[in-house]
Amino acid sequence: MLTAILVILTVFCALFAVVSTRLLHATLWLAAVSALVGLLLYQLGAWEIAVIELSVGAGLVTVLMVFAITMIGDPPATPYVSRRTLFIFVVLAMTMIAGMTVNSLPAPHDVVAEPLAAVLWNVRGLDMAAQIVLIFAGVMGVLGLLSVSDDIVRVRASRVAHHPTTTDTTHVTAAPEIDNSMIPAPLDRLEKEPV
Amino acid sequence: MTWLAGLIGLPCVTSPLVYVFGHRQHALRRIHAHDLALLMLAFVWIALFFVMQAFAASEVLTVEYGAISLRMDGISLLMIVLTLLLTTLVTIFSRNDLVGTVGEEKFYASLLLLLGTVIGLVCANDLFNMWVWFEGMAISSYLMVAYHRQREDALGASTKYFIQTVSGSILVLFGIALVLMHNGTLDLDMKAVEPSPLLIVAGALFVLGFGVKLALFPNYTWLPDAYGEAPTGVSALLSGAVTMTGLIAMMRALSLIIWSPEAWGGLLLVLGMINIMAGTILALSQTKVKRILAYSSIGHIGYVVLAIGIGISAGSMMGLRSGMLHLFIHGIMKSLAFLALGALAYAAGCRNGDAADFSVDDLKGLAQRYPGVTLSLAAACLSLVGIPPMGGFVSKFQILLAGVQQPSVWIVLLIVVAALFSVVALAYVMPIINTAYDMQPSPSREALPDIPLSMRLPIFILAIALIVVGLWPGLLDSIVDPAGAALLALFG
Amino acid sequence: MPPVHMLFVGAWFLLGTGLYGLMIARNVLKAVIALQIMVKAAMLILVVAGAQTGQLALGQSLGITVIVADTMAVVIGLAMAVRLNASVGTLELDDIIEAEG
Repeated sequence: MLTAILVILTVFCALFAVVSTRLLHATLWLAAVSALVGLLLYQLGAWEIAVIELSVGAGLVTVLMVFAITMIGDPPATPYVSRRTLFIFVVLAMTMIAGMTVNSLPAPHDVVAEPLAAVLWNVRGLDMAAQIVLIFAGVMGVLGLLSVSDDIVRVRASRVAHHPTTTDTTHVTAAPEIDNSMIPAPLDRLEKEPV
Repeated sequence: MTWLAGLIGLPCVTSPLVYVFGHRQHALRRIHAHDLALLMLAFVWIALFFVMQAFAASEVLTVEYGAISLRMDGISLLMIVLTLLLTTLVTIFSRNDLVGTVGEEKFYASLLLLLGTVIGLVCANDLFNMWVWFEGMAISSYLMVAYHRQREDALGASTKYFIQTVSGSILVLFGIALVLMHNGTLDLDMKAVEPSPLLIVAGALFVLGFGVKLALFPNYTWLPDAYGEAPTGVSALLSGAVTMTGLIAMMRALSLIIWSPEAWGGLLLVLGMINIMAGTILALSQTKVKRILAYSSIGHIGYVVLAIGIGISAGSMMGLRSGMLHLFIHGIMKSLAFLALGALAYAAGCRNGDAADFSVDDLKGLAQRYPGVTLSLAAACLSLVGIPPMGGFVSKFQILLAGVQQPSVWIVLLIVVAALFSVVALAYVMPIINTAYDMQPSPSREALPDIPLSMRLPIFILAIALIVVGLWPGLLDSIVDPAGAALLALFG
Repeated sequence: MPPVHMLFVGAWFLLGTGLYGLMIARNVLKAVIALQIMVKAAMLILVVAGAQTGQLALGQSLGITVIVADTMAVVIGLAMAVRLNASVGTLELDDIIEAEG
């Protein structure tokens, strides 16, 4: 019974996260979903992952999201456009799939108590190895995406100077005679227009 | 096998080295990140050499760690050879294309990571382990698509790619959970025997989820934007090799749950056919050359999926083998087309991702100034259509042959339509060739600078490979035959 | 209905909510939030699958891997959003995708 209530609560929190108009509110609803999923996992007996979900899912990710929102500035609330047909379709599809699959689940086995650490590091060791690669790739991606291009001036110049038919490519990099007012300056827009 | 472990580990382990020592502010920096990456790739080639020797002796190599293992079979071998070849050539090519941009060391490090994760993915012998490699591959490719991040379009394309890829991989996770529930294990050798609704849903999720990476209908919308905006070398690598790993992953996942090959094969036939039609028709209305090539990729993915569909539904070795052959040859010809185009755009003055806006008209008269590279571009384009004696003819012909031999009228009908669309493809390829060979003398073109050797070298290697493969297709038997056989064994 | 089955059904509905959110999302960050909901559903169903087959430790191990992989994806998505905001000046998906033509 408690599980059923928690499940319904989780789905409703998720729905609120999806339909709320302010990003900050959506983030907080998402944190609630995380916490409830953590509780559900705890109920299932999966204590270790419940802790990780609470700390990473409800904690770290929320902090990151809030950080990103403050960096960007919470944009004016975009009105939630209800797409009722789509909603009904999704609900029907999920009911159908869930109903179809839940009835054909094989009989549950008794849980064999295994130490999680052994499974994680020994049995699924290759997953861990691949994960390290994945984390490094992610770090590289974030660094690359956020690194400020010091060639941005050069790029702006080349945007104006560049025509594929240009005969002289040397002035693409130099471009001293370009009128700056004509150049689209995407990074400056932030300062001029309040977001 | 230690060499196989080395082959998988080397790119992943050396990638941080490229990042750290290739950084322009590093105190010990004596060597450019690009040269460092090439050096590391040379080591990978050496590892591959020994792995291939061992493979020839024993047919299957495995690395075991814990309960799960990485196993190399014919399919893995084909994908590894193709990816490593393209990564090396793209690294050589990118030297001049990207020199001076911020974050080169991250680019080359990501390139190595991409190679490492692809090798891990095609060797994985466990459903969930395969997903982890798959996700790693996706994550290392976001930066590469958005590399020209000062371009708004590049960021937009990368965002679209990101959202679609992540949602696809979540659907795959649901499929994995369903398979685990039914089979009780994630081992790719433990195939389900009796049908169950769980497995039908899982199969649909695999087709949808891996279909995002493969750009299979209906999830191909990210592809033209991503390939159009990525640096040219990355477009070549992604379309030639990385996208196709989605197919390999899908095949391995589907092989677990396939108990009625006709139904799944039929689904693949239909999806492949839609891809062919959509890719070819949408390519006709494009003006930017990179986007034309990207849409043509969608069509060619359709041909590969069509061939595999024929192979699965009829259990025909020839269908599967021709699919693998087309996968390999498409890798060569499409990356050749992208690289040759990138070199021409570079020569015409496109820097920092402006090659994305290079339109067909900008090619005007370039054949006179750059006869070799333009000829390579033309050869690649003709090969895409399937004109002899290029490589593309051989593989397309074999797909059609495999289809015509099937008793089913529907398959033969599909094959006829596919052949017709192959002719339609001429309509988007001919403008490229015609404009490039527009022989009006234009003095402005005469003054264009030479294309650097680092760009010409990979183009000529690929062009020679394409023609040699077209004339002597038997040369590829040693890697295509094991791949076909391994694929047949998956569904056998 | 045993609790495991309830969680199973709940995971599907959570996925549905996330998919719906993704389809109506008009902002990059809203799309990231919707993806997060879907990932939570996927993690839940993996652990449920582990519990169902009597291998809870296996299920948890898969779940932990998913959390790590997904956190990396979120971070990339946020980095992309910050960068988009700086370069394009908007996070509205319609504008971003329209810009590509």
